[in-house]
Amino acid sequence: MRFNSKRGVVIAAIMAILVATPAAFLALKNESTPTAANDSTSVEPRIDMAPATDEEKKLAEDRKDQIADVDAKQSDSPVPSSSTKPVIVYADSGEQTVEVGAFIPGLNGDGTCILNITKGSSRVTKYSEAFEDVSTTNCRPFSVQRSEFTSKGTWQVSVTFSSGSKSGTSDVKNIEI
Amino acid sequence: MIAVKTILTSFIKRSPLFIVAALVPISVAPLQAQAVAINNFSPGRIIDDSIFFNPSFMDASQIQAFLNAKTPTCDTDGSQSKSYYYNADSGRINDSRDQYVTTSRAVYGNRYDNWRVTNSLPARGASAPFICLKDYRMDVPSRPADSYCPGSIIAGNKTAAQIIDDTAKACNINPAVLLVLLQKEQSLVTDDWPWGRQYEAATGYKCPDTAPCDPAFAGLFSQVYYGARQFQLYAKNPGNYNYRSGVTRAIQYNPDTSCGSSDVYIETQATAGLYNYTPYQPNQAALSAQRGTTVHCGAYGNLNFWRLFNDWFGTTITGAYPSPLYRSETSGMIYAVVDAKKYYIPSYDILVAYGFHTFPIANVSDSYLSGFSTGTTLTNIGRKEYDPNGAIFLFDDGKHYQIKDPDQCTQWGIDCFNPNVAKVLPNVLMDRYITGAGFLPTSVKNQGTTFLLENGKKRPVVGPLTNQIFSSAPFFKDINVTQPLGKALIDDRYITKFGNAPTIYLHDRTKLHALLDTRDITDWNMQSLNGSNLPTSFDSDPLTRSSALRPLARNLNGQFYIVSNGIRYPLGERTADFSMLQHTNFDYPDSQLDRLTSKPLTDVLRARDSGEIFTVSSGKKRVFASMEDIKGLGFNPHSITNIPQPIANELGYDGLNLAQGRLFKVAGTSEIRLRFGDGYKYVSRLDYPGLDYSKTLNVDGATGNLYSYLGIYQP
Repeated sequence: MRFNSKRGVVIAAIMAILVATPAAFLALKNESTPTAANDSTSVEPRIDMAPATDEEKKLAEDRKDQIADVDAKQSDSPVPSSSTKPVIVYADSGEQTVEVGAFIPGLNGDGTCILNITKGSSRVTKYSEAFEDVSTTNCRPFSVQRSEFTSKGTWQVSVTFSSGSKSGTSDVKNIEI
Repeated sequence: MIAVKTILTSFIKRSPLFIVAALVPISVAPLQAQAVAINNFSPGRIIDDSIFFNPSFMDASQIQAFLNAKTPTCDTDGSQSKSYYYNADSGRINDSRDQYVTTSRAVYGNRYDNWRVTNSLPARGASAPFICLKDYRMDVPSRPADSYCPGSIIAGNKTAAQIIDDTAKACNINPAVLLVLLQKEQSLVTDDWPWGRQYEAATGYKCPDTAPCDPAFAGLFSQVYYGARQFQLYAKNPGNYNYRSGVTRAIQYNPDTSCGSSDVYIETQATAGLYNYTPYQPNQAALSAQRGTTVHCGAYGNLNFWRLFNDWFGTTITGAYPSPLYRSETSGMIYAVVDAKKYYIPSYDILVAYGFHTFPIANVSDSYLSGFSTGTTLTNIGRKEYDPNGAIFLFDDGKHYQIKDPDQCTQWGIDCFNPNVAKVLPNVLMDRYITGAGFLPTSVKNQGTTFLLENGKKRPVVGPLTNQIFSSAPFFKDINVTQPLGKALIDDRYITKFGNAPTIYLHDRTKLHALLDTRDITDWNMQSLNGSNLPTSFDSDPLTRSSALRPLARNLNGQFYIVSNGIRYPLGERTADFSMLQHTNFDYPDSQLDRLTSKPLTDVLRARDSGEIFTVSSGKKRVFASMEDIKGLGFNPHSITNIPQPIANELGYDGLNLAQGRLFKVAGTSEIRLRFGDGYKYVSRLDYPGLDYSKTLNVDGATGNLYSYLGIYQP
């Protein structure tokens, strides 16, 4: 290892340094106690015991009207068929895996979710379980190793849901591999 | 806006720190400055886990009192008025083509249910009497404990408040969360004439707006119990769901995908649970709109959850916001609380490693702390709970540095794959409170010194030139620079000494050469070199010593030189005359010797201190007695090399150089000798009175032995 010479310190300075006490090199300083950490406050739950506000009462009325409104619509038309179209929540291209998540609006019973990631004639297909959540049907998230992708570039992601006679396919999302 | 103002005022009243943080920015960490204001809805942090999963927030009597307060009077018989569209002939209701009428709520409810039954649809339970939540009772079945709700439910006839309290305790959910859920989904808390349908779908569990409820889960108890349990399902099986803590997700504004979405970094599992429960966030228009109004593409479920909780139960953000720190009032132990878990901070150094030393700390009771499950004890190393790459990080002063590869673990002396060292931490802890600082560097500054990390040791970097190479090394706190000292990495051509030891060294390339004389500085042309005094510890992993600096030196090629006054004089063919003397052996190329200016050595040499002038032969010096001798022997008296005294001192003595014709007398003899040819001849004052006998030189025996007898002088 060779470093370029850089001159500029005269001999007197060198000798002065040489006789200097090593204490400066050895002095250790400890962190002082933090002042901010001494600041503190107590935490207690708060419960608002005021009667319902007019706004809250209105919300209750709105809720009833909403029920009635939905009922009115339901009496005319059933659940729209588009509810079995999956929604891709995320399609993330990580360093090692590609992660895809999707759900289907509404409760559609248990079924199968099929992930298709394509680029030209290349295709990666994965299956996962579809199961009912609280108010939607959830696809168990997909995780695909990057090594399964044969080339780099833009790939197209879609998810298809299938449960009995119900099925639907999501819009396509692009990801970069 | 009134409610928001109330929250803020209340928070300020209860939190003197909030004022301190606002007025004294110097005591507030930069992270705090980045935090959202308390009155802002933060889509990634709707509610903190430590609040959401706190079952002890309020008890059954407090819940009952709260319900009584929210609905002081219940319109049980439906006597209040209600306006609506009604067709008296067909019984049709809520159709704007019909007459707009006003009746009692009881009449309206009856007409509504009748119209549905007429149309072969199930009644909505809209007929009086209307039982408000505060008065609601039902028979509750027993529920055994399971992994999601580890407390069991005992069967019995129970009030809504008891059902909420039982469920909260069984499933470790904040009862306030359940109250807000009941209000957000069906307005049951404030409704003074609730319908059966509202109880049937109380928390919206398995009850999509666009379809009938799953009858298996209908009714207040099942709705509350399974709704609460569902959040534990999300928390305990995060990999099965689309939203979890510590990831960024594009969250839609509305079930209608054309309304768009935006990326949200989800900071808490409770927030993730809310999105799994209801996968929509409010758009900007919904956030900006006056409360109680609706906007196109708005989705209010999660916004209402946040607003209701803030209105009724205070902040959804834990700790001395935005700090995650709690201190036990009794033990003084400090914890970081994240994702409803408390992580013990065992030392001030660890506090500093996470940058928490600048955060405020909330003093709380041990019973409050017991509401959080116990996470790991924090160390200065960790990795994220959810990270497909399994990256390991080192924490320093509020920053996290990713360790590049196992080799770097070795260099830093970190036991990366020991779970007791590298702790698994929630993503939020690292993502929210600690700033990413890229990869772990190979060198750091600490206590005024730069160190290169190598094989588990820290090598002190010494000298301006070497320091320049490592100038970008970041400052690290003591806790991360505890490695034993390794061999110092010192500038090439650097003058140093260690502690109080007297020896001064030239560090040449990678070796130390002791200086034996202060005049070595000029002899070896070291006047302009940098240098400093170093602590003894810098030599604890001893630097390689080579031979001390002497004025006679040998380079890697075996060439000998006399070094004097910044010049090296090659000995060449005269090497054999000196090589037996002590010398410095430079066993590496491009040494300080090689860098000196070279000049030919004269035949005649002068000892620098004593002034002795001599020639050298086979390790011995033959000294000139006078200038005449120099001239007389054919040497140029103006061509003499001054050499360091130690060489002259070490050379043996061969005698005096005497010029031809010189008269001399050897000690212990009486004859006068005349230098002649290669030897001498005796000469007599009587025979040759014309010679200047006053210049007869008295010499030692060595000189006498130097010249051989050649007879009597006979001119």
